[in-house]
Amino acid sequence: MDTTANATGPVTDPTTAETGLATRKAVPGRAARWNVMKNGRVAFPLTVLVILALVTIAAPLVAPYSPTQLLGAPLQEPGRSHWLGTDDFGRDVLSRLIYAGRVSLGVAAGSVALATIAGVTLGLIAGFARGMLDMIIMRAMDILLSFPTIVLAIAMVAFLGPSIRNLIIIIGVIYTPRFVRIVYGSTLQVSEAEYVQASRVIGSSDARILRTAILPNVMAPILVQVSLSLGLAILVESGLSFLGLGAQPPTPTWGNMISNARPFMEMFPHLLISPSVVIGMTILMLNTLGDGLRDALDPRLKGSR
Amino acid sequence: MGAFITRRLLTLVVQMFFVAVLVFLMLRLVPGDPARGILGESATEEQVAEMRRQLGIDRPLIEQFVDWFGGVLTFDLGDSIISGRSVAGDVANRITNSLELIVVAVALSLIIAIPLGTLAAMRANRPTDLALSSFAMLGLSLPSFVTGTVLVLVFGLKLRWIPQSSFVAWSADPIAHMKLLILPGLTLGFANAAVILRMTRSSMLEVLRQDYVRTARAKGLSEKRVIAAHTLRNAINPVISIVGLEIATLLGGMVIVEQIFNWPGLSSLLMSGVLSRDYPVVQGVVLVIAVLTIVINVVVDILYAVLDPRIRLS
Repeated sequence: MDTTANATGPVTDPTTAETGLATRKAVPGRAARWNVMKNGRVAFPLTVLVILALVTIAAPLVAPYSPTQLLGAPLQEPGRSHWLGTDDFGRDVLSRLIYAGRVSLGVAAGSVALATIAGVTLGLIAGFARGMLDMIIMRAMDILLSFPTIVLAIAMVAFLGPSIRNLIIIIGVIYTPRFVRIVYGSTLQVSEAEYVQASRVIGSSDARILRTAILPNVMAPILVQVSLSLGLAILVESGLSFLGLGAQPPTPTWGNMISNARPFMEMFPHLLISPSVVIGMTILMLNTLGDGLRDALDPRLKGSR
Repeated sequence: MGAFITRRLLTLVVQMFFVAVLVFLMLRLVPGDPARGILGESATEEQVAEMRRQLGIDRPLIEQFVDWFGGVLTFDLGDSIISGRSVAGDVANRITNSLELIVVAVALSLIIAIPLGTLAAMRANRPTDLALSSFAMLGLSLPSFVTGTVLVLVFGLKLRWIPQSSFVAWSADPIAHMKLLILPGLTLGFANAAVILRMTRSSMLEVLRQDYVRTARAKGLSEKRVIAAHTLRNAINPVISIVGLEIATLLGGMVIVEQIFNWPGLSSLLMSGVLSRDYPVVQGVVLVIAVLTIVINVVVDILYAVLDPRIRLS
């Protein structure tokens, strides 16, 4: 995104940041990793996200009320007993928001974990095996990529049914091709490198080449992709819940809170505002983290997305 | 050029075939018996058998596929289980509305994002750039159902600038029809504008560093002329390619935006199919949207090659 960030932002890796064209950079050492953490564009969003995750994990301890209990007067404005008001059923909005985070963040984390594991595995297989297997895997990924994500997700939910487990699998499958492509590209590139050829000549096993040459090279782009994919996964999950195809009521999700708030939004905009702000902020933090990580870890990727 | 287009069209055909295979196989994802899934637990065995016949799933898989794919090639996407109408007919009735929305969204996003992206590049790392880049980041982060809902609330319900009326066909009242397109077009265009703005900015920055731009400035051309004649023309190609890459996102966003604004495009057909377990409708619409994505991508690729000889020669 930012081709001139080095001039203003903190220089995170002197060997690469100065020239901006490091070739085949190994994974940052411990010192560089620490520098990444000191980078404000990484540390700030990461802190916010960690707090958010902790709050949702600790939901039963943090939330003032139960997310599904009817607590009396519906559609209360934000006030002392209900900080964010109550919804049309008289349920506490703040508590629902916190519990809803469990669904959104949980599904996002689960699906991206799945996509990362599947993507790295398939990418390595395709990159190592070449030939027929390579072609089959990569073409299959192209086919998956030719569907708009949300359309593929809607179709798969239509056929599989909308349970949390299915959502994780569906969104995981949808984001697998991104990881396959990254790992595949790096694997091909690295296997051609002279030091890898040399390593082969002296009898290194595939496993050793994988561990010492390939994985260190793909770590940075994978990390960036994880961060961006988490944001996209939340977009898909909340979009599905908004359409009524996500986790089913009474389970709160950020998406279904927004769609529930729409009929009342003219009179009671507070119902719309809080889930919108939380979704927007979470994805904003993940995108900022992704951008920050990309610029900090791998200047070659700058401007790509 | 001819060879490039032929090659691209050939991959298009192959890709479409496999997309069709995947859409066909989606019915197999249904846990248990799809016919039972549609009819519910209370249906009799005879009803289920009849539904299996109607869905065609009582025959061997290959035979089903040949039959289904043959239909697809002749624009026959089967019939809706619920209404009995031809899916292709329903798609044809709605696809123009969807395409209209896409065109308006792309046009709005280009009109908004290219000047703003250029401005951000010219003021790189200054407050204007910071504000514009933050605006773009916001566009990337806000789901379309949030932007759309907020736009309806502000411009429709509070300010009442745009009437909240039901759908008006172009043939009935073109002006009212276009008015109804503004908010959905803006909603869908906003996220796209964010991506284009970022791309325009970084592409412009790249070109602004080139020697020939320095030469243009050195020979005393006005900044306006340097930008318009020397920089933008060269910076625009990556922007076009990103529009192509964003088509899938745009068509996906379209599904949600149409729902928010009750726009009678493909999305309402898809959603009613999903909610009533009308599997042929779901398969038909998903296939059409995927094919649209692929076709638009190829068109953009070819356009890109026409504009930039470096691509087609490589």
